Amino acid sequence: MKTKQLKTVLFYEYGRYLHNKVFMVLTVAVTVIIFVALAFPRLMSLVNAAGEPGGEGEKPAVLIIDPQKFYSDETIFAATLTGYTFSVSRSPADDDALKKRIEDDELKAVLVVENPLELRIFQKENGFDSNLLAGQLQEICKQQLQISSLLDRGVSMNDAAAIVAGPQVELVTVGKSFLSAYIYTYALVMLLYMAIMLYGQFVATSVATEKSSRAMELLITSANPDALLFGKILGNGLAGLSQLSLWLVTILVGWRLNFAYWADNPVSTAFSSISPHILVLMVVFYVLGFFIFASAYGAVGSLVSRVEDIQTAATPLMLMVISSFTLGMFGMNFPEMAWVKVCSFIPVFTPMVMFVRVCMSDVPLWELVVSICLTAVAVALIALFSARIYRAGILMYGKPPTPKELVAALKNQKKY
Amino acid sequence: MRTFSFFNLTKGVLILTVELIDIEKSFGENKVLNKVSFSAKGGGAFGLLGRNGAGKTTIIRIVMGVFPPDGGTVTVNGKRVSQSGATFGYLPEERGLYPKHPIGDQLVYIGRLRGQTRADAEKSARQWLERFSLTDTYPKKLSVLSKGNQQKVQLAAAIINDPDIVILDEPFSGFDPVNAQLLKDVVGELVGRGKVVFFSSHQMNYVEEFCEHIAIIGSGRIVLEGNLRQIKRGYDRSNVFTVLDCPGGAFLELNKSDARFSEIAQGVSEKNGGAIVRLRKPEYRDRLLALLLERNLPVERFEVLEPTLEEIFVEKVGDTPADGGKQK
Repeated sequence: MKTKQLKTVLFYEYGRYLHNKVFMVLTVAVTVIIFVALAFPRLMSLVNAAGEPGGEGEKPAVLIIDPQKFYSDETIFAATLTGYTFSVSRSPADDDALKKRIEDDELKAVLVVENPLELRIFQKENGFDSNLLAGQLQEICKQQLQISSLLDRGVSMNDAAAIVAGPQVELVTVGKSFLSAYIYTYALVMLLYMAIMLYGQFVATSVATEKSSRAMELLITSANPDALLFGKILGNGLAGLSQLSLWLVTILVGWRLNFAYWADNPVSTAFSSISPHILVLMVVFYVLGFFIFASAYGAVGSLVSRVEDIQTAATPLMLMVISSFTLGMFGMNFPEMAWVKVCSFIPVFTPMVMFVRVCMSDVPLWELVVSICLTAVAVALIALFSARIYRAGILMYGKPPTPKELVAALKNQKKY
Repeated sequence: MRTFSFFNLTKGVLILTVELIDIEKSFGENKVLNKVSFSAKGGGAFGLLGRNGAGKTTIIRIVMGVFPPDGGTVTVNGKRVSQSGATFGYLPEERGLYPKHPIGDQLVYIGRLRGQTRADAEKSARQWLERFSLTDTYPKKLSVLSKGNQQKVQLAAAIINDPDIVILDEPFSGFDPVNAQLLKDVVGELVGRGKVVFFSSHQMNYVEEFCEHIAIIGSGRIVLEGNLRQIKRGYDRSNVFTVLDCPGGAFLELNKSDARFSEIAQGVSEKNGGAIVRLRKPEYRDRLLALLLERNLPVERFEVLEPTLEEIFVEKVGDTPADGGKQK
């Protein structure tokens, strides 16, 4: 009977989500946003291909004005900055005319060489690449200057080029790439945090609503309170899990379909390096994290009589979730630090901190297993305790009870 | 599996008896119920009366197994409630369903929580909504209905699972006379089908109309329990209300002119166009009637006055504190 009631409550609660327009719109909207974001480079290439007949398209033009011929070889510019076309003028600059040509988008930028140590660059500042281009132009001039100085001192051309280029460094990354792990861990922990926080609060709100609408009077006489609480938690958890899974699958599918269009940048490297076992662990830690907080949230919901009181009553819990998240964020920077390791074994922090450690460093299997087992035990204990608070709380109306009143109510319950 | 020891063979329906024996319950230091005992039998409505906070809701919750009593037992046909297989229906005083959920869905949900299959619950929900002229509200949200219609949905929720034991707490509040009649019909049917119907109300006229048996609770104790008619018979029956079809003052005449009258009666007072005669002994009422007829007085009404349930209630629990043991 109890199991049957549990199932009935679970599916009713889950069904409420499917009937909830806001929930469905949000779920679908985020799915679409994820998909579009992942397909963005492909869409952009389509737009570019359509907008620029002839394939290559016109490259922005850069004019170099160098009347004294200090920088004689303009091909160096073209060889280094392949995205631009370069032209050289030997006649002195007419500032106003140059500005006009830049205004009219005829030129992307103008480099005016007054003398080797005095350059002027004209350009519009209309994007992040503006300053990049200016810096690159300056760097090329600087290298040219260094090389010609070295040549003047009798250094051979090859040596001069080598000195200016500096040492060649090959970076060999051993183990996980910090940067890519950092990027995807950040995204996944954020998702985990929002899911745990949101769905925990949904449970509390849902319980409090049943109390304030007095639907509880009917429910409690129709079903076992444990079935009501855990059915609700499972129903909400399942809704959250469905949403999370849908989004994770969207990320995977979207990435698989579009990864060829992503240039080799840190974000794309990061997403390529998410291994499937990380995603599986994410689901495991969502389930653990959700249960540890949701049963506590359910108990909090049962203690208040009005939905407005939840915020106050749930503050300690909220702080716990936030500190767990913050610890996780710090842990991302120092996954090997002792205190991060310690926190990853404290059940309320495990879901986020251990997850971060697994993503960012190499965690021995036994540590992972122990932390998951500890958390599972904690989930069971918190669930049992929450169920007792819930049984006492749902029949109390009026102001939320003080801790003293709550203890009295729980003691009273012991007699059964 | 249900097994019932009682069968009403004449009607062919199962008759249950709910019995409470020495129920005790405290919330912390506060003793809410003290040795409460009574029994209610199917096929009749049982009135559970008491001031606010007397302990009615606690009794109801204990009977329904929301929490166990500290002492005493509740049985259905001699078995513990949980083992009896008896099903419950409840109309709480503080009405409660989900305002924002579709009506049909929540009725089915309640029915399923009480053990119905989805098909049965849906069928039952549709039948009751049809009976209450709310057929097209099945997919609508509860909050869009008028108060009276919400009450009807609430009633449907109480009896959706065709429960063996029905507990109605202030069922008439919020009903207009037409809906009240509908409720009366439904309760009448439930009683006729042998259900145990508990009826808790402050509207004593309804209780008098429905309930054969009553229990009055005051400060956590049963202060009066039994068959309502017998209870009334136990009260002073020496007042007779009489209306004569002649000008007022006939009794005063009688009092002066006939010595036999003062042998029978202690006094006369006027009330509502008639007179209340206070007899020296209750059994003198025959002699009073004979005297009136002998004197050829046109008797229109002749009635032994019984106390109303309201008067009994006030007498029994009028001096107990209200909200004495109210649990938040």
